[in-house]
Amino acid sequence: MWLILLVGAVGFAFVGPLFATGSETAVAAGYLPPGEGGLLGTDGLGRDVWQRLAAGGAGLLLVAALATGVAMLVGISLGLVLTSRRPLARGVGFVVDLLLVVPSMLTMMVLVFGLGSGVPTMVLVMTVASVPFVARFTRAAALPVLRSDYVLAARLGGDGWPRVFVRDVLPNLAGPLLADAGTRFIGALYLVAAAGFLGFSPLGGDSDWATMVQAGLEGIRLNPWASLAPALAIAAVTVPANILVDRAMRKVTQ
Amino acid sequence: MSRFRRAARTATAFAGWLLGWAAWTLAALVVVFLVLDLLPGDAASARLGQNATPEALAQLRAQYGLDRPVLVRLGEWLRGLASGDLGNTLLSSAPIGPMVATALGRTAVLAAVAAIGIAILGWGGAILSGIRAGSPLDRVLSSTALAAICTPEFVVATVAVVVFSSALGWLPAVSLLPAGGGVLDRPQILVLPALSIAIVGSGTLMRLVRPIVAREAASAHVEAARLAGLAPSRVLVRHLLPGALAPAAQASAMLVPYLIGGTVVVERAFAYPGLGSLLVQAVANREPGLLMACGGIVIAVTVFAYRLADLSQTDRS
Repeated sequence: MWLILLVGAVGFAFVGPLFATGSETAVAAGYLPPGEGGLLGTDGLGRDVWQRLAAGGAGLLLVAALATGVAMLVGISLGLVLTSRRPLARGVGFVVDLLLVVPSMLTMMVLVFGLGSGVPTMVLVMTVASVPFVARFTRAAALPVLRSDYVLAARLGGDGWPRVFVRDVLPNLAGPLLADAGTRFIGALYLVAAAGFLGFSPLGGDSDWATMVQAGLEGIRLNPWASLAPALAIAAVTVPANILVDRAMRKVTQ
Repeated sequence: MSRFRRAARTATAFAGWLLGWAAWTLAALVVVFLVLDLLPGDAASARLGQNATPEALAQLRAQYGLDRPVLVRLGEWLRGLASGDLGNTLLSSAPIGPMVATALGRTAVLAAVAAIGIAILGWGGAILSGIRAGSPLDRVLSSTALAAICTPEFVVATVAVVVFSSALGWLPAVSLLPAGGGVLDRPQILVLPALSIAIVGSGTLMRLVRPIVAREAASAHVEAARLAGLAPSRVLVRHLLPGALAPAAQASAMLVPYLIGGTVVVERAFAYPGLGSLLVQAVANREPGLLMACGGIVIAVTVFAYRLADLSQTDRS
């Protein structure tokens, strides 16, 4: 059931932009309630909320997915470095622990201040915010594998560490790491949405779900759907995703 | 004599703890200051935007004092911090210190109310579901918490506004302060922001504390107390909770960084004039002094919470 909701919401976000051709044109007066101005009424500028809802999800999800991918790659690499006991690895471990103390909201504020609020900034924010968690998770999952006989065999066979990691260790961690990626994706979506809501949308403009929620708040008495519809759309992705990821996580850590 | 010595040792440990807290906070602040300087965008380039000529940039930087070496500015900022002077904003030349102090007071009130809600909902939920792990009540509470955790605070806030403000008309949708008054003169503006923070925060807290309660509930001494025929409430208060207290307190401290992010978003959703709104304003208007002041408070609180968590951990062992 949760899977259907998730697939439905994500599918809507990606198919929506194809038929939402008039999402930027004003069709009626501002903040008309549903009925008088289209299926979900109009927003403050008189644009059709239903059309804008259909157009505004894909970008948000894509940025979150991209940020997750980069953060996972960096985090897994660092996690594998952390399995070593060399001084360099310890230095990396210290930096990772230090990053753990900085709230991700502050990281976001500092980086948006210095870099502006583009997609690269969001990817960087997500990487800084989640690398400590991914690296620790990877390290914990990799250590038992590294002690196994076939890793020893591969090492005795003359394989270098990078080769062993890619050929022997990572395939064994695919399940846990995928589940962890799910957790990170929800976190990334949360951060990207929060950024949009605070007025620092990575996509620019005002046409993503999170920015729509913020923009519609001033007219919430006239047409609540201008804020409520995109807010529920975000929840329709994060809630089922989180429940499914939680189940997957329980399965792989058992 | 021995009592005196123990008191002295406790005092020394406490002083050392405070010193460590201050040192970590200061170190993190210096790092943030340097990172801000390292990043390409600064107040001058953001203000001039597209039509920035090198001459205009240099002039504005000189006017803002951004052309001096970074270490000189850092030293100046730290000296100001020590003497309680946080400088002025670049745009309106308003003193930052009083501005931040007022906002901090308002946010502290909001955070306190939200923390009470989180403690009641989170701990209550954790105890109710943890003492009978696997029961229908546990399953309902656990999935509710799971759904609440990942819902962004502004989504909860929007739904709360539509229900309690637009439809029922019970509470204000915007946190307007009375002229010349404080938050406590109109306490009703606190309810919806605090509720929005508490719903998400208590879900996280419940997820962290529930396993601790469940483990404690299955332990031998609690089992023994139960089999001895003690009343369930007595078993809970005298035998179960004491063991769960330290790890649960630690879990609660881990919640602080999440709450800071949530508070920033919720303040913006209700236009609540607190520290979070000020932080967003600092970034939107490119006010480095304001960002450093707000960020400093955020870091100080986070480091405090983490060190508190460490403390309760060492006490246990």
